[in-house]
Amino acid sequence: MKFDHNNCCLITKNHEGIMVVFTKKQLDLKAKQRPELREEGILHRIEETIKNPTFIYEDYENRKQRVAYYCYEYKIDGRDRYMKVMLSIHLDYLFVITAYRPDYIKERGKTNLLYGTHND
Amino acid sequence: MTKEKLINAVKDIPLVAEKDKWVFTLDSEEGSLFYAPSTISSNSQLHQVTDEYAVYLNDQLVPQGVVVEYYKANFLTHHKIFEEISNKLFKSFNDEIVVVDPKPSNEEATIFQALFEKNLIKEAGRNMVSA
Repeated sequence: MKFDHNNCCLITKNHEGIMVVFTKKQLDLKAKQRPELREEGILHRIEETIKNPTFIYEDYENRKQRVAYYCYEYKIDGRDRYMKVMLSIHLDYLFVITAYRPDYIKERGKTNLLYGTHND
Repeated sequence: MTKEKLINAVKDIPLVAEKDKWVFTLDSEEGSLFYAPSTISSNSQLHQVTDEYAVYLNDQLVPQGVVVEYYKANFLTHHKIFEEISNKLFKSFNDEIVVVDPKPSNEEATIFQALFEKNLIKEAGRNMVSA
């Protein structure tokens, strides 16, 4: 599939210079169940997470073909909140599956930390 | 967000779910099970309740939806009681998105709904993640 700005809402590069795409079709598919994807400025936050992740974990379900990028945002009510971007790994690009803003690291202690530090 | 407020919000889920006609949506691509209206309202934030699930709450702490991340890979392996009925309900497990409406005419779905809601409340009391 050819990715361009006609079919993608975001085309960028990750911290290693690998192309990352978020298609318009994928955004539409996920936005009903992920209200964060309807927030103003969300694409900028997703891009920042892809370019400057705080840490990256292997995905819990598909460890070899998916990764979870996290970007620390702020602490509120005693909990850290993150931007999380789930990506699938392809031959020469990464594909954004979905993105949301959890206050918990589901993969912590379950899968390998691939990049960055996560000490709390 | 105090533990007490979060537990109270979880206890409200069955009433809100009935009023707002929540459905189960299994997104196999994402690996998540959603129990929510067909569209989760904007201006709601995700709050992790236990290691198994999180809830979207609005500013008034009213539940807007439940998300079980890694439903098949994690939740079902820890909750064997759900496995059989879940496999029946979400028959098209390989499809990307399967929606199940727990309307009264769907007996299996209503049983799943009752079990699921009971489990949410029980687990919130026992296994809430710390702040």
